[in-house]
Parts: sequence; C-alpha cells; structure tokens
Amino acid sequence: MHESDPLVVARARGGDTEAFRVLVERHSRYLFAVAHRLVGNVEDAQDVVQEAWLKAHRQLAGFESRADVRTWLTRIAVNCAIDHIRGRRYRELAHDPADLQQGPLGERAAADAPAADRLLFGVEMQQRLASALTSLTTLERAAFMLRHVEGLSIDEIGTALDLRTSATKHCIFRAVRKMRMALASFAGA
Amino acid sequence: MLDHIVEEDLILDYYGELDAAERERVRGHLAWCGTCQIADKDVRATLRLVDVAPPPEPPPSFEREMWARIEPYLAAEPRPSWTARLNRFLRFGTGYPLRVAWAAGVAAALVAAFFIGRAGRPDVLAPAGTRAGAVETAGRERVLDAEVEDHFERSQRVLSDLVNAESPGSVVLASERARAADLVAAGRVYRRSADALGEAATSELLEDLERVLLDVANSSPESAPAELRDVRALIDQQDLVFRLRVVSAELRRRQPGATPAF
Repeated sequence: MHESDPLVVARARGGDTEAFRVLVERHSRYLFAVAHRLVGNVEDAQDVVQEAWLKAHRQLAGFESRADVRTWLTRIAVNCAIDHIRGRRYRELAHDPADLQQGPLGERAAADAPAADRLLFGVEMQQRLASALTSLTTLERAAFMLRHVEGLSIDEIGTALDLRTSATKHCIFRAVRKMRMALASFAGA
Repeated sequence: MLDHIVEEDLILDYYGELDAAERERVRGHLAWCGTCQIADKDVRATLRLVDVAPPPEPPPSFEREMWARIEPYLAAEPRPSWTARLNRFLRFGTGYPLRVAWAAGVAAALVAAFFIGRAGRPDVLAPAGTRAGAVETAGRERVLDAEVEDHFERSQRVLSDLVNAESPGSVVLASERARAADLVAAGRVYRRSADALGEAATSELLEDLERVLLDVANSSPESAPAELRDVRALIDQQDLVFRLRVVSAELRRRQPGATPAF
C-alpha cells in the first residue's frame, strides 16, 4: 500500500530509518533532476542530492505537517545547490569571489549538451545560450529553471527559495530579459 | 487603449501565471495591437529556444546508491526527532534545565489561574470589561510580560552573537547550540501561555524566534558555514533583532513603575 508522504515523514521524525529510506527512494530522482539543472553536471548533482538528504534528515523536526514534502525537499536541494555553486566558485577562483551570484553553469551546460542539440541549435546558438546562462545570477537561474524547466508555480518557487512572490517574479523577469538580449538574433529566425 | 502590454505580463502570460482578469486584458490587447504581438512572439520564441536538453537519467540503481551514500552518516549520527528530544529534555530529573522548569512553572501557574479562576468563581469573576476582570487579567499579563521580556533579552543576545561573530561558523554555532535549545524549550512554554492569554503579537514573535533558534539548536558541525549563513539570512529577512528590541521595550513599558522613555 502506498503510504502518503506526510505519514512517511511523521514516521521518519520518530526515528524510523526505514521510513526515511522510503523518502530517499521516492524523491531522489526528482531531486537529481532539480540539482542537475542548477549545477550543470552529474557528479555535482549527485553531491547536492546527498547533501540535501543529510540536511533534510537533520531538519525533519522543522518540517511542518501541512507543507508539501516535495516542495520542502526542493527548497533544501536548491539551497544545497546554491551553496555548492558558491563553494565551487571559491574553489575554482575562476571569477571574482566577491560576486557570489554567478556560477559556471553556462560552460557546463554547453559541455554537457548532447550532440543532437548542438546540431539542432548550431554551435553559435549554443555558445550564446551558454553565455546567457552564465550571465544569470544564482537566484535568477534557480528561479528561472524551476519555473521554465521544472514547471513550479511562482508561489512554489518563492517557497523553495524563501523569496517573496514579487522577488521571485523579478528574478524570472530579469532572467528572461537577459535571455532575450542574448538570443535576440536567434529568436526571430 | 494606448498603453502597451509590459514584458513582465507577457512572461507571466506565457507561464500561465496571470489571473483570469489580467489574462483577459492581455489577450484582448494582443488581439489587435501589432506592436505587442511582435513583443509577445519574441518572448515566446526566446523561451522556446531556452528549452534545454533534459538532464541525464541516472542509472536504475541511483536510489539504492544514494541510500548507500547517506546511510553511514545517519547511522554515525543518530538523531532522534525533536519531539523525542524535547520530551527527554522536559523529563523531570536528570539534567533538567532550571530555566525551562521555571518557565513551565510560571506558564502553568498563569494558565491554571486563568482557568481555575473562571471555573471556580463564576459568581465572583467579573465579566470581561469590568474593573475586577480587568485587574485579574492585567495581573496575569504582567507576570507573562516580565518573563517574556527576559526571554526576549536573552534571545536577542544569542541572535546578536550569531550575527556579529567573526569566528568560523562551526565555532559560532557550537557555542550557541545549547543556549538556543534552552531558549526553544522555554519559548514554547511562553508561547502556549501567550496563546492562552490572547497575546497574538507576542505569540507570533515567539514562533518566528523559535524557527531560528531551532535551526541553531539542530545545526551540525559538518555544514556549519552554510547553516550559519542560512540562520543569519533568516534573522535578517524577519528583522528579528529589531522586532525583539521593539517588543522588549513595549513589554518593559507595560511593567508597573516603568518610566517613560522620554
């Protein structure tokens, strides 16, 4: 019988490790997809998912039973991904460490993109897309990816990123504006 | 209609985030305005271009592997639920913190006085709004005010230390963890009392404060830098230090014999 997420979480909060394992089996694949959108490669995405589960385990007590489990987990995973991107930036020293907002997703996205896509969009288009993605701040990229790719509503994204609705919208607006500028010559083609 | 549709509304429309009235307005305008039709087409074309490739599908064994990665950490650091820890924490006897015992005692007395007073002396207890009723309620509130004000003062010191400390996150959180746990337990008792006495604003602040203190109490050494950053962001977003100052000042002002601040 399929036990609902809130009931599983309630058991996990009581110290039932098997219940926590059920959550891991149920949501890891989704969290991997979320993490990959944000960090841009498989290894980092796996690390983010691992960190997210450990953090979720520590925060089980803080989970409000009325909240949606997947939204709660998404918020944790996104925060872990943001921390990961920031940490990676410090480690790589590839950019100005004072600017915590940007990450190398663009370069990674271009490198990871399958050959079919490259053929479809063309090398120049890919480069421009990569450049546009790189120009997004971490929050812009997170909000945009969660809306555009994961299909979360603006309210859900606000919950996940701990932003007010207006701030969430502005992150998405700025992301789209940057995309429009970067891809202007392709959009009309 | 001369005003064109702004880009923001075109984006919200693309994502289906406009309410019915706004959607009708936008669609109605787009039906006849060539300028906005071009802008809308451009937004949609850009967003379609941005559709990135789906993320790689992890192997079928991904969930098992993920569990294998995290299970050792869970086993190495068993963490009973907060409820279980709180129950253990509140159990009378070994290591029971005096502060929580005191808070619980005060709260129990307040709540008991509230209900016993009502049940035991229905003929004496003055109806709400009369002088006698007001005096009883004021007495209970004064006790709660004094206790909560002290609680807020101590919480404020913890928050200030968290915000201003320059030591590494692991050191800062380690030094505040026990204090935060004490304050969480005491704060919950005060919150129940505030609820019983209808002090909605105090209860709300206690609840917001509890979330932050809970994060500190449950923080772990492994991810201390990130957790300290989260805690500081939460304190900042909720303007907690400032709110604590304001409410503490108000509670002090309500104490008998308090002198005006000006």
